[in-house]
Amino acid sequence: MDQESEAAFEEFVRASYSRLLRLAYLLCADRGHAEDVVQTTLAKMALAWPRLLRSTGADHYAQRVLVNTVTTRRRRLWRGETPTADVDAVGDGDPYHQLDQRDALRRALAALPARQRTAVVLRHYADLSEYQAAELMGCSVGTVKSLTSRGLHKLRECLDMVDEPQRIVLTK
Amino acid sequence: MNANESVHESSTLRDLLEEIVDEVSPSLGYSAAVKRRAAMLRRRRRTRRLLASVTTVCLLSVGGTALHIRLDELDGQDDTAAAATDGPFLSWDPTGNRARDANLLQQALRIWDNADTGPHGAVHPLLLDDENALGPVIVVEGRSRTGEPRLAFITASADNKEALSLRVDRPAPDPVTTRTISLVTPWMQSDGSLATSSWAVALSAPGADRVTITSTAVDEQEIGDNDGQGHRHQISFLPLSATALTCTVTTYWSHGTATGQPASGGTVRDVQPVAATVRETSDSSVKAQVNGANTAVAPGQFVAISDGLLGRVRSVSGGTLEIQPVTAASSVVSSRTSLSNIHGNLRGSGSGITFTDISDKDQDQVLVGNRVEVIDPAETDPRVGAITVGRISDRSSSGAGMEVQPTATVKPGSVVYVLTPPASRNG
Repeated sequence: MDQESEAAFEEFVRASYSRLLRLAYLLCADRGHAEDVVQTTLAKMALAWPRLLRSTGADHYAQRVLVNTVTTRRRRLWRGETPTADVDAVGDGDPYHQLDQRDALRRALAALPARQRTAVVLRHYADLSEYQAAELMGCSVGTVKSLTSRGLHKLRECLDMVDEPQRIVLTK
Repeated sequence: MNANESVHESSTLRDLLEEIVDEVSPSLGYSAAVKRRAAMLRRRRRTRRLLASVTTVCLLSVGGTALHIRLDELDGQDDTAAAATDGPFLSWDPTGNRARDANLLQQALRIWDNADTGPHGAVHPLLLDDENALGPVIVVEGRSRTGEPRLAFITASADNKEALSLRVDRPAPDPVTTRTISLVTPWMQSDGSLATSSWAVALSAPGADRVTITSTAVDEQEIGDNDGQGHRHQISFLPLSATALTCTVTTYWSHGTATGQPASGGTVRDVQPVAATVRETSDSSVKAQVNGANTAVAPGQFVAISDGLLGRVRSVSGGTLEIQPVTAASSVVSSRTSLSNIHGNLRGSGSGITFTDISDKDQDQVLVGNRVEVIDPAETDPRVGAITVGRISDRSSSGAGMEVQPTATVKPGSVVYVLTPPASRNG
């Protein structure tokens, strides 16, 4: 990479790191994993940067690489993702079960199966259309619709149980 | 309004998600961390390319001892000793984390025995593994009920790791010359339908250190690290654009050589390439002879090699094909750029190709080095498979089309593949 490209890439990293990190955090439900995924994504972008430099599609490309990286990581670690404990066992130790909206949603989101979580986040946080989300996830528009619908349904179910947190099953 | 009510409204859900991520901020030194990781990937890629593409012999002499590092040509002679053979079977030692698991083997055999070729005898497992992203994968050889040596791939399903299915039951390969066997297919759901990725299973003979699977239809950035994990088998997934035709299995042998081998498909829904041998070539046509009898080949079908698209079948007569190369003057192929997905046509000029008919708003998106690909019409699902035609080499005259450097070249004696739809397979 020449000096000009390198400067442009650094600028891109500065401009997009926070946005990608936030998306990765919602997709991974783990801060450490999210950092790791974003750094891998941007490192892959660095290799492709000379041909992305003048393209207006760098953001879309980054999003695609990020979702693929999250999927790769999830598949590699599939044994690690098993339903285990209730909220009390893994939670942040709120002794009064007074979960605020944000906390309740974060826990409910983390409890979703990964593909449902991805669909909900891409549709309702990244503001992608069903077609764009399907393209990114490598599935049909119908699958995105059903994953999103099931995901939202489960979010509602989980949030119904906010007052009974021991019944919420999380994944870790 | 509580959180439960709020998920009914998309805008509020978005606001809540925004609040959740508000607390996430980049750690110090993130920019340097990205640079370090990019440098590591670059080093890895360089090493991989070096090993995979070196075609000359490197000779290092240390104290009179020479170390040869050589990449063998596909199908070429090599100095990797084949394992001692046992009749018509490969008889490699079983490998995988469950290589000695009789229960898993029995489970797989029950499925294989229910196939048309079962029940099977003289069964010998080659791979029993479930420490991978797919789940249990079993590769086994044995005799069919009519005594024919067969090889089967029985795997978990992409949608259900508990559901084992027989993916391929094919004649056992030649035990003397075969050193790698593989299966690449996207048809990996429990009912044999399309998965969200293509899956690749590759296994090499004892003596292999590492196995990798790459596709010419997939950019490196699209996939995770398929570096192999120090085993002589590899089970990984690739984007749906990767099919057996475009995949190569590279095996790194313990004594310093690396060999490349075309991957195999073969499930009932995979496009079946029909092999043909090139007899003569010119700028306007390529003539080839179909290997064996086959009536599935028809005009209009694509002809390709692993590196990319060669052209289309212009005519067939008694097993002899005339192929119109993509570079021929009257050739027009509808195509798109990879990743950026800009559509246009590839027009042959007699000696080269130009990428034309791109909408004005998309012109700036197409860059030198971009890969231009076509979707294979033989595939039954448009999401499956892509074949590279070339890369943009010059966009200076974008008004008249951008120059494309083709990736597929053949000479007399080369083997090419006609891509016939699964339903029309014959022979």
